[in-house]
Amino acid sequence: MKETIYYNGSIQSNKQKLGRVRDISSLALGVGCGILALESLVGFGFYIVGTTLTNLLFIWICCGSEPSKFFVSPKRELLLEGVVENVPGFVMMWCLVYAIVS
Amino acid sequence: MSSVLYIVGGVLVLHAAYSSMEFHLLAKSMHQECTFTTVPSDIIHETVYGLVLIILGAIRSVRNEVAYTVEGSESSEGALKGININVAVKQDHEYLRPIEMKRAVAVSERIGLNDYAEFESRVDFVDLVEKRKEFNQWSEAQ
Repeated sequence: MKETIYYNGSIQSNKQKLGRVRDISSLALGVGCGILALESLVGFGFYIVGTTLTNLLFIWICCGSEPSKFFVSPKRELLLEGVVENVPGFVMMWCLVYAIVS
Repeated sequence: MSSVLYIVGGVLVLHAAYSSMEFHLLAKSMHQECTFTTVPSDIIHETVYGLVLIILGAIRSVRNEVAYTVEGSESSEGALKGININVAVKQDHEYLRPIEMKRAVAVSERIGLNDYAEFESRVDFVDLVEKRKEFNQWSEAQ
């Protein structure tokens, strides 16, 4: 089977863009969670639903529904990775806004 | 476009936050009589719309920028006729860059860049005498 050769610069730049969208969305979701005064597991459920929707939007708008063109392992990179890494930022904004609001 | 989305989304979220704060103050002032468990639905709606706008703004903000060719080519139209101008090169996709080598390299070839440009144009290795000679010839010809 013929092996596909990848261009490193593009991989890096795509990852950076995905990371940027993830950073902004996780902070925004944290703010939303605080405003709605959600507590415990409901808040984390909100985060998981929110990030999944964001990822799907990213796949639909940015990748044109063909993520394999832009990511080496699309399923893992787009849907699993980065979800856990952005939890601290989310919790930070959640706590901050929750404390201010209520 | 993305900044408009950010601003509108931010205003919505700020307003929702203020409303939520007022609501909690009211709920606290009513002590026992009050049995609210969640914020009113209009605040929920406003927050969700604001968040959606902010996230869409974030997605819009990662668009590819237009690149210009390094060498440039002679323009054939209007006032710029005969003048060497850089030509705008659009990426094939609006948001991301294709990772497959043959597709990724196609755009940089059109721009006239390669991965080793950094090394090929290092200042230490530029032939200054030659460049000066070229410049003098050019300035005399002007």
